Amino acid sequence: MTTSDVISKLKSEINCNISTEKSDLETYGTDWTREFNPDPLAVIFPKTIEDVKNIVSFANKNKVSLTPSGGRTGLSAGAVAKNGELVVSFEKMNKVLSFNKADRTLEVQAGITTKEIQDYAKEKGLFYPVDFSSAGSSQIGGNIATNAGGIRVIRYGLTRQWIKGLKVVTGKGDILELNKGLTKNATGYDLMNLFIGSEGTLGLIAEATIQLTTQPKDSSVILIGLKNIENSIKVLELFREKLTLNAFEFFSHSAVKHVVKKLERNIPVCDTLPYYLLVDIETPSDNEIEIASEIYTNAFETGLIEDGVISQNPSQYRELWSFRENITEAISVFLTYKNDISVRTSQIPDFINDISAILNNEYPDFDTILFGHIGDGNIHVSILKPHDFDKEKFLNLCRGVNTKIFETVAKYDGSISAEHGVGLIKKPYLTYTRSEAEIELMKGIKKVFDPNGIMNPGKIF
Amino acid sequence: MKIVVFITQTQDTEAKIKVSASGDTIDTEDIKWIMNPYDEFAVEEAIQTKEKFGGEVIIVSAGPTRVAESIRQALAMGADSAVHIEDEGFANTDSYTISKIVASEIKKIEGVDLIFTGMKIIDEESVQVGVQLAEELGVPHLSLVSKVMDVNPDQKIVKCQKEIDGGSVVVEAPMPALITCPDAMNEPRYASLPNIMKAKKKPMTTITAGDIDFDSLGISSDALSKNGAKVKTVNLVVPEVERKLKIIKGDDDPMVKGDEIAASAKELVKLLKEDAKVL
Repeated sequence: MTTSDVISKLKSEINCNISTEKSDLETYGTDWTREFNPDPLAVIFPKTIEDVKNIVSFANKNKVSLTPSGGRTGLSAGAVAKNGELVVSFEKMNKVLSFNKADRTLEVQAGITTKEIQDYAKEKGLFYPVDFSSAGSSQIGGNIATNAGGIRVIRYGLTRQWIKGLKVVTGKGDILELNKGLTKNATGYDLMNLFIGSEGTLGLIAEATIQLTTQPKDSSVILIGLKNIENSIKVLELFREKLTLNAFEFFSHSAVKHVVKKLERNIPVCDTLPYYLLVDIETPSDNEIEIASEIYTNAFETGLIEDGVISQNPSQYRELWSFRENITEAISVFLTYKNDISVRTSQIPDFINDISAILNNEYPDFDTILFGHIGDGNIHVSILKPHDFDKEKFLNLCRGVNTKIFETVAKYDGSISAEHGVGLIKKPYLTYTRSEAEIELMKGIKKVFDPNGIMNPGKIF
Repeated sequence: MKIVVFITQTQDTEAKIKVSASGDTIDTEDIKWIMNPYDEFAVEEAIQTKEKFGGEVIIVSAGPTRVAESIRQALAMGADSAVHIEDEGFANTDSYTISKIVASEIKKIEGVDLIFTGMKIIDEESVQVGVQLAEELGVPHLSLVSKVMDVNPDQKIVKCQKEIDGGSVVVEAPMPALITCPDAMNEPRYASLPNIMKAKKKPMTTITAGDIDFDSLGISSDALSKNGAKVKTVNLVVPEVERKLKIIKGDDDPMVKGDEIAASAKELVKLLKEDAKVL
């Protein structure tokens, strides 16, 4: 059957909107990564779980591979369709199906955005704590498929912690209702959690039951300058011992000049220090400010920290956060090679020193930026291509250095992908984090759910 | 040299403003309050002036109990002491009453050379308090100052730069003088944690309505209420957003098929002719 035969058959058998327009293929066939050229068969827009089931059934019968597509904000090319896949866009499955006040749960279709869930929760006087800068575009289905993290993991955990149930269509074409909103369910293998982080390789997530929680109390943020990265985890320990932390973020000095340029605002602490921390603490009363002040004063007097300021009102809170939140956007004017790696939190100082040494050695002339959620042991490494440097040469150089970075990750028993997933981009490096035995088991699990191998083939392994 | 800064509180700039049921005030239930951003520039300028030319900075504010939070912020930034004229009624009165009362308290502070305040308060934007304070105090008013250039405490002269269309102008005035501060005059500093704690120990005098001699100020005893205000807010309206953009498409899907495009094109031409009247 030729490609156009398959498309005609698809159009006649499946009652969904289907596009083969070039611009749609290019848009829906990729994500925020720009390394691969999208080349999907077509884009299909289901509206219900039954539509999804019909699509999977068609794909099995006609040997068509499927690539799920959410908000397309992924950074590992997990949603890239480069080999004639049929892209299943969840854009039209964007409804809230029900809200249960007593359970504090929300049933949604997979294509609703993270921000819409946050706003809905707020309207109900509740809170959905998973948050990241792409929340306005990213969809819950994609969040679940990559077990997305973000800025509040230190307090609230990853997406996984907030999923109480999933309705999925397996690669075989079965609809499974997993966990059904239960808090406790000790009845064998946890299939719902197998789908969380599976990057579309086992089946398609169509609906989800989301757990909401109590809104956080008033918070303040402290911006701290450090002379040594060794002190960062000591500072974390001091604050965490006595206060509730909402976030514990970090960025290197090299990020400052880009953010300052973008915001047109100077950083309100000494701007020549090598490392900065952003500590977000819950401060419902003056008591917490007093405790924070004591910790700060002791840390300052013992030389753990060099400088720092605290927000005293909501606008200062937003402004201090903006220095961290705007890093990705500020460097987006450059072609950036990104890594998202993690180790245990206690190992962060040694790990950052090792990674910095590699970067200084291998890229002495490149602008390299470190930032991330070090309270979770997670750093993002960004290497900026100089404007006058050849693109292919730059990417090849970066891929070469990856080996050294990932050898270091492996030395620390860390992860080559902390929160962005594996997709296509991290696939060649999976063995630095997972053993051959583990990878074989994963492949076996995929075979059970997706015997014909039609679900997002080529991703993860 | 004594430098006074008059500050007020306003709603957080990102607060969602809802008009209360009475229609003449806002619903304050979920509102967070911040120091009026223009007053923040005034505090920063006063502290910089103190750092360059010496002296002390005294914060004066009038408002409900919550205003103390913003006063503490100003003290943590580097001001030395504060006077809080505390009454819930300040939220309901007009700028005339506020200026009369605040000026009377500033007059009680001996040896004031400079008074800073924001050029306006961002809530109702009457842009009057600074001007009226200068009038009540009988001092010169330097408006829209972009930079305090020189202060001579001995000769009692202040020299400032003002931005005008296409250039700048340097003005000077004898002290005491009042300076109103425009947007982006400086970058207000953040307080350090130790300074926030030190601010708690700085002297703050609280004055209540009972301490004010309304008669001698020439204002009625109910001036700190809606009834007593000379200028009353009678109606607040949140503007309705008029949606002028009309999107024509086949259905709610991202792609429109051939026959639907023809129908959509006809609809567009009809609207351009009949509604927009551009064809």
